[in-house]
Amino acid sequence: MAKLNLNNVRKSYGKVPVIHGVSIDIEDGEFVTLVGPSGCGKSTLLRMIAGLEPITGGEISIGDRIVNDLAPRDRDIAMVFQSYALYPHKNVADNMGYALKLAKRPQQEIERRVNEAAEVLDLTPLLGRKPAQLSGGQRQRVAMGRAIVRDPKVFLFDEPLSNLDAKLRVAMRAEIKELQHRLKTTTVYVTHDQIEAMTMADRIVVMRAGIVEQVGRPLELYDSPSNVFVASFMGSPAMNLITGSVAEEAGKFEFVSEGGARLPLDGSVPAKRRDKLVLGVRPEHISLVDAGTVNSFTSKVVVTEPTGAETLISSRIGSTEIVVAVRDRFEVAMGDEAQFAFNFERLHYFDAENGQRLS
Amino acid sequence: MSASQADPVPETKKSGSVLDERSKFMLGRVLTYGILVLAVVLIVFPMYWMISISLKLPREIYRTPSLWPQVFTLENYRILIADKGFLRPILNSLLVSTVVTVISVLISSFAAYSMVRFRYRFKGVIGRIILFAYLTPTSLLFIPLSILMARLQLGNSLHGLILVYLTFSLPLSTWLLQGYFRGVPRELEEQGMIDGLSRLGALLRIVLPLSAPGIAAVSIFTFTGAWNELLLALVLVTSETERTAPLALNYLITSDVLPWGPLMAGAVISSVPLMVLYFIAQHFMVQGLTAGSVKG
Ligand SMILES: Nc1ncnc2c1ncn2[C@@H]1O[C@H](COP(=O)(O)OP(=O)(O)OP(=O)(O)O)[C@@H](O)[C@H]1O
Ligand SMILES: [Mg+2]
Repeated sequence: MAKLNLNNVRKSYGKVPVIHGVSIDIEDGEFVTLVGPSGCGKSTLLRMIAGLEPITGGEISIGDRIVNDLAPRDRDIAMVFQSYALYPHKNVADNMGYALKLAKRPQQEIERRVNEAAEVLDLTPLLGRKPAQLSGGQRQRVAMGRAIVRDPKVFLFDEPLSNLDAKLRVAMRAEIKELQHRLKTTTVYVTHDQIEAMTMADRIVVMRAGIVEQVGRPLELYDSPSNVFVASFMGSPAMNLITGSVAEEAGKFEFVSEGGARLPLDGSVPAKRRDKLVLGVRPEHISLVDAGTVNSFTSKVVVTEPTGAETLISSRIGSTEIVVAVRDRFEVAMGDEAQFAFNFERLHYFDAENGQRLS
Repeated sequence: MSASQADPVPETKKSGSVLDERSKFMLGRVLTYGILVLAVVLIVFPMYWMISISLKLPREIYRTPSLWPQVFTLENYRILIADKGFLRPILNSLLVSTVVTVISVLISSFAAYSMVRFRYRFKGVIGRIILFAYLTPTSLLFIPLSILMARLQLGNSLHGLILVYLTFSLPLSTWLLQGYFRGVPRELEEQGMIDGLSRLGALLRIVLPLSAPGIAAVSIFTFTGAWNELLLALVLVTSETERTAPLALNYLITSDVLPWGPLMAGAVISSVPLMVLYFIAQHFMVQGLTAGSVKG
């Protein structure tokens, strides 16, 4: 167990920069998820922490030791690859015990620790099998087991669940979280699934194109995304983003969207109101109201999608399609007009130029 | 096959179709085995002929060729080993072929690994040159090579022969092994390095074991090539003590006299090491060694 610090870490492949100066401080025992769209450099960053990729610039330290020039085996980390990377010529027990064997631990201790880990992960009956004789989910657990028998300073996970089906993924998600909680090992977990990121992490690092866009606790990111990218990336269905400007008339505020729709606002609009802005509102912060309610607006329903727990209504504001999530059962047909209202406390404003949050 | 679907014949009805199915099956079997037997005979007969001649007396060899020796004799072997000193060339050949194989596997493993895993300048060009070197015919090279060996003071020596054989075996070995190494997922090695291996350790303990069929193939190919090679040996080796087995057999023929008995005895002895090698290597020629390592 140890803290993990990245200080202005950079990476270029040849002349192509891929990671542009990333600084993250991860506390001892913390579970941090690294999210971002495909190709943003998550795996690269993780591999740099593991020592599998040389570092172009900056510093990485584990504990209080700078590990820039240490080989992977000297960093005391365990990694789970997206593809599991089980040794096909070794059985499950040998796969799990290999690191301990290389560390020249006594055979008895290796056996004990492998058995313990197998117990935790329900792998005991499979210890004698070869990876080829396992299902995808079992392989995933072996890969996990191989990491936990080590008791390393840091766990590195690179999308370990992405090859599993949805149900198994949810189950494993909880299991990994619980496991980490118990072991209290500092963990960096890469995923491009924002739900995985939200549910598992103590803190989330959102990356885009080699840059850290925001670091924060899950709900922090959800409630106050620092820019348009984070706002649209976190949350499903995604936050509605409407470009337009704020107009004031006789003390009343309105948001005028690019398509010309006018939406009533309250007084809590940001200072730079005359400029072009992006108004952000999450689907669950728009509600259906009765006709004639103050501060509401009418809009045509394009599509309704009942998911069971809630119903998603797509509607159009000016030229922008928005999604509204409502929990109550209701009857609106496609093509009907409906009356909507914003939850004013949950509105977000962003600068349309640079996408940064305004407050 | 289609007949069974077409008519589900009740047993009472006397019909040829059940029998047809059976006889079709039998016919298939007979054909399969017939062709296999033919192939086996084609391959085995020359070997049988070689062995049987090596066990015959000269008068029997030169008279009517019979399938089975009337008198069994080890005289040919005695002549070959005792009179002609054939053990020496066999040992020379064993030495040369083994050394060439070991060095070849070692160097080509490292070369192939570097071509597969590392990124450096001119890698593509080097790769093509390697392949090109392999494609150059031996007959074009034996004179330059013999001059080169003479200049290096390595003419007429087993060292020189080893060096020359390596120039032929290395390109193909490297090229073959590249293919096998590519089949080993990179993550496996990386996992190994995280688990505590150095890069060299990962090569030796993960990549090589998983490329065992490749190593076996390369070993067989290299060993057989060196073992059977005659042309270069003929040019490079002159003294009697440095002769390899094919060369010694070649020297059994004096002007137009062909001592068939000892020649075939020599051929039999020469085949034994190859058979042993093939037998061992066969165990490593397994497919799907990397199955189950990555993905679900
Ligand atoms: N060996 C390489 N040579 C050149 N560019 C590379 C190399 N490996 C990765 N890249 C580039 O680096 C960027 C980051 O790749 P990386 O694999 O870290 O993405 P990622 O965030 O893990 O994506 P994903 O979610 O798809 O796994 C990509 O644009 C990729 O094209
Ligand atoms: Mg990745």
